[in-house]
Amino acid sequence: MNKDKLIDAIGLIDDELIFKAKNTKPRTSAYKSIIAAVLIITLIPAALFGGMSLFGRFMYAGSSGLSLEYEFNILELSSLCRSSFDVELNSDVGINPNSLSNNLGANPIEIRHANEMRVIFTTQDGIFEFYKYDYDYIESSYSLKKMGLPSFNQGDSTTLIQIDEYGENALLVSSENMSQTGADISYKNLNFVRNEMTDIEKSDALAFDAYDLSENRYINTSKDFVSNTDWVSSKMAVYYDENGKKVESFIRVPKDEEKGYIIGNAELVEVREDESYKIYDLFKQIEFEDD
Amino acid sequence: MDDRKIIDMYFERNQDAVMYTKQKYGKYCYKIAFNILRSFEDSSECENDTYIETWNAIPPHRPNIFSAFLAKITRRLSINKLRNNTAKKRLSNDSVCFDELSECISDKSEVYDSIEVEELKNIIEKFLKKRSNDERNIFICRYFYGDSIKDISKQFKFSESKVKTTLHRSRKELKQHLVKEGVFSE
Repeated sequence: MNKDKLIDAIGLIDDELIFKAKNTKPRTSAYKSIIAAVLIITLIPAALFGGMSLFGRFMYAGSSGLSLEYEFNILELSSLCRSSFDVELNSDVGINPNSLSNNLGANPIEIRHANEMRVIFTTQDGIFEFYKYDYDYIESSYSLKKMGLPSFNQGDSTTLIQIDEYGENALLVSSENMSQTGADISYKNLNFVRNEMTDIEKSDALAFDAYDLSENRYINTSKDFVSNTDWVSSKMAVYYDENGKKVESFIRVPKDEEKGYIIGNAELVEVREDESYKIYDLFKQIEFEDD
Repeated sequence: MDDRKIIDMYFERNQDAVMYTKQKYGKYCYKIAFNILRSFEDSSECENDTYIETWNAIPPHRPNIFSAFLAKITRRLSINKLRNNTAKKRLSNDSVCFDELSECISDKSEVYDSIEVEELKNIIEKFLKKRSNDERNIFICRYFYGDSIKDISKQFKFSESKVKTTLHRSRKELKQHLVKEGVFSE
């Protein structure tokens, strides 16, 4: 009976202690640190003179405080990337494999973009995850089952707008404006998004992805897809949203079909006079009348 | 899905909350149960009972750390089941790691039995908070989660002998701490 009481008492200890016991990152052992130091000394000159190899970048990452475990897991993860994407890994990137397995439950099949404070990738079921890295842990900030426009690039900057799974909160991220929740999105930024969206229609350089809610499938809209001749080029369509508001939107129309897909439409985010906003499904099948 | 959102779903009495809990913490709960019970069937039963108890507890309770909340429920249910099974002579003695804790207690049970579990919990917490991070975490993994020495050594990247030594020292010091706190006399 005495032992039982002790066992029961241990079962009541503080939640934080229980949590930390399973979520404390093991320290890098000393010999690994020594190996890392040797490799860094060897590789940094090569990186400086010959352009950094990918491996060199990982080792360089070591000098900024990342552990070897992180570096090798980045390497493993990068091997999962699609070759069509140029994934940039630099000294500020790290991915905690435990966080990945805990939060995703699925292997990432694609890393969209990885630099500085964020890593964006796609899972097999089309869920995007956004991670913020601060050297100690990676926080899963948003689970994005209902897709917004995932991301697109302009020069060196990255801007993305994402909608959470309840369609209630938006996250706008750019190099100038790292992280803002929906309420803080300024009209200027929305204009920027809007302009970029328009450019997608014209430029081969931009690509975007979408999640087809109606068919529950993930679609990668690469530039090849955009120029696919099976699709009539984009046209404006007018439709009414669920609140009866008239919306003008770019759509893409499969040949010989009477349904079109709203892709990257300019009305993705509506800003009201009081500066509140409303977000529509990005990828939505609608009926339209062909003129 | 974020824990906060899962908990919100419990508050909304949305039954999907159970599905999401299972999706995110099913294996975690099962592992705790299996560590204690060493039976697939019993562990699955405890995992499922955890969901029911969670459904009944939230609301009104709003857990601060959802995973720890679930772990506590699973552990308690598993231990209760273990005790039932032991009482029915359906279980062998080597099913659990908790036997090691016998080293921490005194034969003078009359003194020890007078203390309440809640009070004992506070004393153990005080003891744990004085330990180094590694010692504390290893202790909790072993005696809360019921993890094997091998699993712990993998998690912390220590040798198995180091884990055993650390645990032995912790048990010895816990006994001294319990004596010091007047739980029992040596």
